[in-house]
Amino acid sequence: MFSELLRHPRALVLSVVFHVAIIAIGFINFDFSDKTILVKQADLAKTVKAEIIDQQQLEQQKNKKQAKAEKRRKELEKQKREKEAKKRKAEAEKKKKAEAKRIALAKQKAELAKKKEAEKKRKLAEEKKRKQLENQKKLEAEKQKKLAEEKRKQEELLAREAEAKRLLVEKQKQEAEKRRLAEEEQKRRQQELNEILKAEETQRRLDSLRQAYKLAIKQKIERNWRQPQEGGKMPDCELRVLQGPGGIILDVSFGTCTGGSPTYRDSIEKAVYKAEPLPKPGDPSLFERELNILFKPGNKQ
Amino acid sequence: MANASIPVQLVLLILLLASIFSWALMYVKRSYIRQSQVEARTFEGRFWSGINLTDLFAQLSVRQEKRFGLEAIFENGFREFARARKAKLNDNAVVRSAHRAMKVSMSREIEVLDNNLSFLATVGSVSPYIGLFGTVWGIMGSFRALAGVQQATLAMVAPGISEALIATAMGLLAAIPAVIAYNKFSTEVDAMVIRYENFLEEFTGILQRQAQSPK
Repeated sequence: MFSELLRHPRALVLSVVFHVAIIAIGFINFDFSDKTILVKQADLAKTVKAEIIDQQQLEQQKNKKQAKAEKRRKELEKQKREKEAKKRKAEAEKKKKAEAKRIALAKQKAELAKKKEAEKKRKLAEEKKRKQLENQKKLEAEKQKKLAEEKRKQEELLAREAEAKRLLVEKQKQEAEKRRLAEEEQKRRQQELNEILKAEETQRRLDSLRQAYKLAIKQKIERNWRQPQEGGKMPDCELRVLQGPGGIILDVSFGTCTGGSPTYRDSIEKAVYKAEPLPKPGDPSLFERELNILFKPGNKQ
Repeated sequence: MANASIPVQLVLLILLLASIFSWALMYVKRSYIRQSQVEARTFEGRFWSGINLTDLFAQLSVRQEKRFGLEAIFENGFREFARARKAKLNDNAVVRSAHRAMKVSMSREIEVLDNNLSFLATVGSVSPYIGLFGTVWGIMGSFRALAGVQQATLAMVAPGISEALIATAMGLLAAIPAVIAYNKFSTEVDAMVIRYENFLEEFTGILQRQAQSPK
């Protein structure tokens, strides 16, 4: 098996590629990540351990917990007292600081009032300037707008002209295309007609060849026929002749041959075998394995 | 799959290889059978086109490439026929020796057609069992792990069993195409055998007639 496969490495490669693709698709649809499985196992181990802990251990743990709570409560009280003392100190300091702050604030307020006055004046001057500038800008913008409008109009005109030109060109093109198509159609039709004529021609040729072939076979058989001695009835006979490559006779059988005596039939069969090899057809495609021949003894005399 | 036990992994590997080889073999066989069918059709067309047998033989023997199928049968038969006739054997012996030569050539052709089809049959019938073995082994492992704990839950064994079932799926996946291909190919090969035999008998009849005609 391997030798045959090694002779066709392409098949092996194709097969491997196919499997890799299938496995890839399988992994995408069906995520067998090991993570989830591992996590679940870890959880399970924990719960199991917890269950196993016994009663004694539980009591010990309870005692320990109580002692711990007592200790903690004491510590908390101590901390509270210390905190209060600190608080009082801090408040006194705070009062002092607030007084100082108040004085500073009053000073600052006076300064601020002065500053505000100056600011107001400055703003008024600025406002005036700004208005002047705006007016100028407006005028300029209007001018530019007018200019742009004119330009746009001109451009539009140009575009329309170009469009008209383009349409004209397209129309011409379409007409040319139409003409070309019509010509092609005409050509095609002509060709088809020619082909049909040709086919008919060959068909006719083959038909005539076939007739000639059949006639040649029939004549050869009839030429080889010798009339049997003992007269009797000699009707027309239908023959079925099977021939092999090269015109070899393979089998002869009789169709309707009413009234023909055995000797008569025998003579016909002999004639067929004598006619071997049967004549060749003019065209190889006309060869027929099975020939149906109507034998007429009348032609002989 | 990565934490499956080694036997299960081994089973999966075997099944993968079996599947790869059977697909490659299917490809090779399919193309060869198609080729033989086309060859038989074209040769039969030529043979029955009324061409002279000597001409046909001459055309065939000029060609360089290796002949197979009907061409090989015809060539061997006709060569033997010509040789025996030259040796002035009597008509019966001539035909008999040609017939024998063709029989030998035919059985050689059939052997090539039939070659390795049994591998597909083997894969088709055995790989489900291999897959099943992998699954059983994997489930065994899962249950053994379960025996060690006090509180058993389904969640503990389910991943293992699911993994083990992959082996069965792989086995079926390898087996189904192999069985289909085997059935298809064996019927096609049978049809080819009948075709060859028919040709052989017809050709023998023709040779018999030729032998009786004057030399």
